[in-house]
Amino acid sequence: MVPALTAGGIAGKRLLVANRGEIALRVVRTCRVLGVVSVAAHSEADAGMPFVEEADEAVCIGPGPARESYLSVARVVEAARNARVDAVHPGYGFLSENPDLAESVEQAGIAFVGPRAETLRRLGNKVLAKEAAEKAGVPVTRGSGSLRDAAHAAEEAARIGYPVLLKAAAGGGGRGMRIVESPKGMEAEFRTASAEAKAAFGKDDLFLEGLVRPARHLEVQVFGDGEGRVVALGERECSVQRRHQKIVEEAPSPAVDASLRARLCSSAKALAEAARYRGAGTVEFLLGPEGRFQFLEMNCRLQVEHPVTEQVYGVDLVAAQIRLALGGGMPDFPSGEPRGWSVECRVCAEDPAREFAPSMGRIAALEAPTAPWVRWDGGFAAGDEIGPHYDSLLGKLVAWGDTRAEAVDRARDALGRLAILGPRTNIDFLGAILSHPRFREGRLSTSFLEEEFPGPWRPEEGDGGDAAVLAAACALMQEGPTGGRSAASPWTSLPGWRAGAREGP
Amino acid sequence: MTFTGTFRSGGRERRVSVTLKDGVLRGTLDGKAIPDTPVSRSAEGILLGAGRDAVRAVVARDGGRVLVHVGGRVHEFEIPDRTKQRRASPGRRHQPGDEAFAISPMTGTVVQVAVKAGDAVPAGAPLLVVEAMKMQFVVRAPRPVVVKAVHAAAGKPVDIGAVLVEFET
Repeated sequence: MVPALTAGGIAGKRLLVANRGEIALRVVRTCRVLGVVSVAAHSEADAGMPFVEEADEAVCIGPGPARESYLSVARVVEAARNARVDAVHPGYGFLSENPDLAESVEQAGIAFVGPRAETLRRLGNKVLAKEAAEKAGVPVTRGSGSLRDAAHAAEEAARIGYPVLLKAAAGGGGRGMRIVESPKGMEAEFRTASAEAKAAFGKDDLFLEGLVRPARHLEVQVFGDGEGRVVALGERECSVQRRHQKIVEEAPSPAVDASLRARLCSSAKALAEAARYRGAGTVEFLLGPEGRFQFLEMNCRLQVEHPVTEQVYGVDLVAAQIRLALGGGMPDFPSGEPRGWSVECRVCAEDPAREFAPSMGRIAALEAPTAPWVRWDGGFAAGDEIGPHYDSLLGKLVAWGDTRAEAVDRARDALGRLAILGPRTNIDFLGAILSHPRFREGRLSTSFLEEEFPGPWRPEEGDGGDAAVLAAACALMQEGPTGGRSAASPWTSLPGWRAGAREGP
Repeated sequence: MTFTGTFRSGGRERRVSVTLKDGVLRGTLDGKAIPDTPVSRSAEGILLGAGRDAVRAVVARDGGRVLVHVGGRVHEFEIPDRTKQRRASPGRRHQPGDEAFAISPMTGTVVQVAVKAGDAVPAGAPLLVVEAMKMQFVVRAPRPVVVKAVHAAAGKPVDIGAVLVEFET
């Protein structure tokens, strides 16, 4: 074990991972490096998933539906007490920004890996966060307070001016978010947005924001020690979004130079310092066409897209979070400009040809590329079932390069070698985005995908090219005439050829 | 080892008859001889061909299908019946636009039904909303249609491919 990694007296402490999929696996593996004992809190549907198998210990917290497991404060707290952990890492999504979890955990004498409950109440609520940003001298967008109903929303929208954005006060990841172009769409959109917000966050509070179009989505990574010291680790650009769901992210942004970066970072720092922010957080901004930026919201947790920042600043944000929470102090973050460029693609189980409908089923094979500069943050393996209960994210493919073009080329090459067989995925679609001339020129806005890829998207048909047919024949040959693997096979097994359940470790 | 059979993919049939001996694949594809192809294992799958022209494939069986990842694409084949040649089963996959019904795009829960029998709706109008993986998916009319029957109710689970709304034809 490398002494530097386990420094700070945190080795041997215990941490509950209250999440699933790729982020849970990322936290579990980081715990191992730090010498921290990981306990995976998982639903019945996730027993046997890689994050459960790789954790040092595992505890089942309820049935498949998230409301009865990953979204249940009571179940997570009970699991944390019973497992006698020192800290709870909530990952992103689920309860990560839920002040009740943070409070209950800390009342039980357990550290919450994230900001204090009071910070989550204020900055996690988008309406209050805007007030805090304004107070800290950060430019903000026009908007409303909390909305009572659709009629109240229509009233406020008329004051702000259409188009408006309906958003969940407790939201994130585009859930419960809807663009409303005119008064006649308000009632239906209000209903859908509040149903989505209720399902995703357990709260259906909505508010309105004036829509800035075209705009780039920029965000600054911050990390605070909880006592007023905050570092800002540059920006990420996340303009490539489908239905407000980020798909491709990068750091730095092609639209940001050193002077704009300094201004963005100082705004983000001002807000986080005023809150005496603790741990990792992200301050989101919209950058208008004339180069002015406005505060959008603060995400009081680790972001899905944190790896791009890690690559260009050479930091491990998850290790930093865990160390701070367990009393190991604030790490020495680098200062200065980002090094090179990093691009992340979110690989999801969804079918672009069918309007990106979630695609379920068993993963028959999964081979992720490895190369210098290429990182695959995945959470699933061959044999795992992708079911209806959770988000469709399968993993994140991240590539680094000296220049933006090099990073994009490496990401595109790696996507071509990422083989996920079973559920349909958006891998081809991601490749098409990275190849698009406008993407390559860095001319992005949050409506980039709507404008360049409207409607369902069909990849070139996988029409059974010669090599594919021959490869299929080679694989079937092994089964022998009656099916099942032939004992007389000259190769005992083909990697990737898994006719049955997942093979043992 | 030998293999003879017909693969189906995207409505296309590929007849293949090959022998693998001493690491070399020989035989015919659609009746034409293929070049002798060295076949070997690679770290991540199987390699067809040699040197610069080698193609890497990842192959997996998924129920009645063989899935092959090659050249950045996923190819899906129905597993051929080796004893008798079947006709491609018609009507299992429908072309978009001409269906007599709307099917569920995914396994999930119906959260909202917007039409009832007898309704005439324009192309693109929402018929119902299905939710899964925290996402809501709006099922829309593929063309102007008159609703004949609705086989869905809010709150009820549905399977992928289930017929949700039938149209008058």
